[in-house]
Amino acid sequence: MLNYSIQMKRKQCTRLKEHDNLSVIPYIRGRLVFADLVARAIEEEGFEQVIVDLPFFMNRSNLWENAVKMFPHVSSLLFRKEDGSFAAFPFTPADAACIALSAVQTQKDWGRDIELQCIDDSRVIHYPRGSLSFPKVGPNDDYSVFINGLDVFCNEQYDQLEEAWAALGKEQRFFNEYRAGLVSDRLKSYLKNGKKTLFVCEYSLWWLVKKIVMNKYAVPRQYFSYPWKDVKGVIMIDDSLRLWKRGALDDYPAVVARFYDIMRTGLLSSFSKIRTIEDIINKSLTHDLYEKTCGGSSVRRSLTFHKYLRNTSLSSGKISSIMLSHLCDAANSCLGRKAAKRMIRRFFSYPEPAGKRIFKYVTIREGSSIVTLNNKVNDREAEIYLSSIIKVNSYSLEEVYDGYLMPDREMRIFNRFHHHPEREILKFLGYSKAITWSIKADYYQYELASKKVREMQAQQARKTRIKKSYGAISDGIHWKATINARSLGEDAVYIRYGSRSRGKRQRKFDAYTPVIFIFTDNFKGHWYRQIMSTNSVQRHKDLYPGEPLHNNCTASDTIYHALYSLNNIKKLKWGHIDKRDISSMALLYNRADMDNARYKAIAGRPNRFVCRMAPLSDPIVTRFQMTEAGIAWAVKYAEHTVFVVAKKGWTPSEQLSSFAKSRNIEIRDVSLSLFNPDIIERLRTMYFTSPQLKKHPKRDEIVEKFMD
Amino acid sequence: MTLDNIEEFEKIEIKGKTVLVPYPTKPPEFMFIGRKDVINKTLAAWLNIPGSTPLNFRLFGPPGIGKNAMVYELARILKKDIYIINGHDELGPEDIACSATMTSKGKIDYVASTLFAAMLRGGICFFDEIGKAPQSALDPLASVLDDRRAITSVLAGIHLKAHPEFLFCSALNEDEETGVGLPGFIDERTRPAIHVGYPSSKELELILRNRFSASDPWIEVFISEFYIEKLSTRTAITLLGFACRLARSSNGKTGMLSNNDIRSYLLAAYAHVSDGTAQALAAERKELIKNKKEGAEDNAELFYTNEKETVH
Repeated sequence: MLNYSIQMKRKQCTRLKEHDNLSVIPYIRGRLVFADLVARAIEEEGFEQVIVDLPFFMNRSNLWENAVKMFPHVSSLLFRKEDGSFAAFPFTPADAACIALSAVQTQKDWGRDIELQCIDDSRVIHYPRGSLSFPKVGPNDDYSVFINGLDVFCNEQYDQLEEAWAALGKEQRFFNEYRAGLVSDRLKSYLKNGKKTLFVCEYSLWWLVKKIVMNKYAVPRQYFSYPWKDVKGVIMIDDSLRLWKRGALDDYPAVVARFYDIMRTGLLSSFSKIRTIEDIINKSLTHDLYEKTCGGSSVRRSLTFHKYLRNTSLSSGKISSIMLSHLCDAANSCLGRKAAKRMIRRFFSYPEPAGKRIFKYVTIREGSSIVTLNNKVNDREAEIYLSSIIKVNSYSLEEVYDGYLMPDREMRIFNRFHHHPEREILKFLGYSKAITWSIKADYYQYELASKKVREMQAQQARKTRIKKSYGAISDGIHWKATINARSLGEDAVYIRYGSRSRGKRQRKFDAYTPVIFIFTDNFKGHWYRQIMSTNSVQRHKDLYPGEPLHNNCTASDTIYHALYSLNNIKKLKWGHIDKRDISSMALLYNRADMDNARYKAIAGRPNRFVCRMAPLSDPIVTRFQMTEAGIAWAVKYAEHTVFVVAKKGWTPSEQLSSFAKSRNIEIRDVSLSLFNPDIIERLRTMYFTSPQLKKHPKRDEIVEKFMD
Repeated sequence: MTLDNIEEFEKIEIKGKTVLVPYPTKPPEFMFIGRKDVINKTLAAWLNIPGSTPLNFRLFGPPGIGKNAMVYELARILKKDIYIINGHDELGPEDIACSATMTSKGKIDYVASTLFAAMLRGGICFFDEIGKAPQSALDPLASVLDDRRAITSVLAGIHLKAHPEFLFCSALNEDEETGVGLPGFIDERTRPAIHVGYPSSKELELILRNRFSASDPWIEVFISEFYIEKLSTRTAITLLGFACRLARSSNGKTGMLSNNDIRSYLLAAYAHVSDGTAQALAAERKELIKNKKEGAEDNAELFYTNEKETVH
């Protein structure tokens, strides 16, 4: 798709003249490109010592070993800071420092003698919030590292850091200088052993450390003294999507999972982020092509999607990567909303462990040591401990390092396609098996379809019919047809006739003109249901049974406005959402009004057009066959016309025709084939919600997330 | 009476046949504001990549939000001529390709469609309201919008291969897109389908300031009064213009009015535009604003009561 090949993915690192034995890979946190570089360097370059910019206390005990052993499952070291806020160190395979730990572990397992040192300040967990952050450095296509080289990529970033440094506040300067001074001292001391060393360091830290190591920046002698106390924490298996939102899992979690799988096989040189993205896209498209019968994508749409995605990537200057926003736009506009949803969800899939979340809990003590309090924590104990330290939702936890969030746009896309929070809401509402309530989105689809039916009928009435004249002039000469005929050598006059059906009364169609949709010929195994609309008194009784009414002066009232047949009900999400396969739908009122507006719109009509008798108890309706019961019901309450949208060739039975004739109602049929198959499929699916969910203010949004 | 505004079609000879080819449309002169995101998407669809034909996108969204203006802006950016076809009930296949006309001398000339002209000269063809055209009229588009990029007029006996620079786009209203949709073969060929939503209040303000440069207090009151509405650009311009005219016709001037006066003129104009009384609208709006301010979501069940269903 994009002009990028694996051959371009060369190994790279930065070297310093002053230290022959040192190679450095400056990285951006959570970006896979750098994790890839580090993993390959450790695997292929024969380093004897790896130094990472993780806090010094991680050298003690086997804290990080435990975390990386859980890969690809992601975890976090959570702890409470002195000021009472909570912070987290994420461990993910997309982070260069974390993958360095994992790669060293793997090399050790294979018998290689390789050391690992964490040299960052242990007190980093006590630094004030925001003290290490720089003003935002311009966005960069990090895959350009493989095209322009690591040094070019970093130099561009360093130039921006240089400018940003001048604008930093006093406190930020202090903490950055203090930290860089400490790291450079430790780095120099480890380099003295002469071992071939790889230093994996976050790029903004390395920018300052490099200057200090090369004696180009004199750090003032300064100390950060902090009354160090025991810091309690837990290592817990984290939610991959939460970490993705924090920017710790690169662009696509599914690609990170694939990267880790390949890394474990030792074939990293064959890994390509772009190719992996393409694989996921192709799998999704192939699946959709296979599912074409149920509204999937065609070959043409797939090709258009590929072209458009390439164009948007190229025009935004992202020559070798695909942004989520581009992917989402292209999928939405070329494949359709449903296929886009399926594709985007594939990109967010990541292995999630079943079972307990707490892995271990620890105390970090003054003197930079870690005490593991208990390795085998029972779940109850862990839950109590966790709830004691995390009273806030873990989604609001801070990370230790700043500038770590996914861009807003990506977050919005995630929120649009993923139903993580919505699942939690529904879970919280408990199980439901009560009566269900219809949703606006379904009515809206029927409103549009009914409107189209009315328009088609009006168009039909206006349509000019043309024929060759043999003397008669009827409604006048049709000049266009006559000239066209002449140009083709025919010497004839064409006339218009039959327009506006002379003598026939023009009928007005509106939202009260019943429309019946029949989607199938075979009603075997189908059954009918009815939908009613109630006034506010009855609605209150239904929604809040047992609760007194504020204003009880009005009598309750119920009117019926829809009758439908179905053959399948699927209960979703603890019974809060019902998905129903509709085979026919009869609507007496086809506007998407909801609540009292719908009730008022129907109840305000003359009584003979308002249905207050349950259709399924109506003897007039029940004497008709299953296929025509809905039409008969509509005929009973229609003013002059009912529209029947059915497969081509549908005709009413004699019984129905005579019933309609007796009530002076015209039955007009419209072919179902005039509708787009995607729209028919949507009309055939209806969703209903539980009373609990109905009362939720974000009900429509929640249901929409679970629609196919 | 002047005939300056009337322009004849260009007469060209194609294989012995006289074909009248229309000139490009002159888009209205106004400054286009905002919508960078959508403009970028459309430009990406038309990106010129060797060996690859440009995509024929379609814009969809509520009426009056500037879909046409966006296409005019694209023509300005790309410095290309624009040719517009309007979709309607009576459109026939020959209107899409080539129709015939009779001269005063009884001779038959052929009249090329705007699509034909755009294909011939390498301009942009913009099919406005494509959702309103009957399917039979859209049939000739099949060969234009796929890799053939050619059109055949049986009437004129002409087969035209599109100029390499030819571009196509279309627009339709949101209910046509999300409702019944376009016929399958056109739906497939006019993708990406790019959604154009309501302008943000900031963008709307900028547009209004550009159109009504001298009426700052009017715009301020308008924005504060209608901030929760989903107003299309066209409705906003109409409303504001109409309110100013109402004020002028009753006062003779618009500059010295208090904010309350401006508000009342705006509400009166709104009542005319949206077919309701000013008092009822004011009450409705007051209620909405109050609910919004008081965090009405807490007792939102009052506003979210829907139909219930019973099982028999």
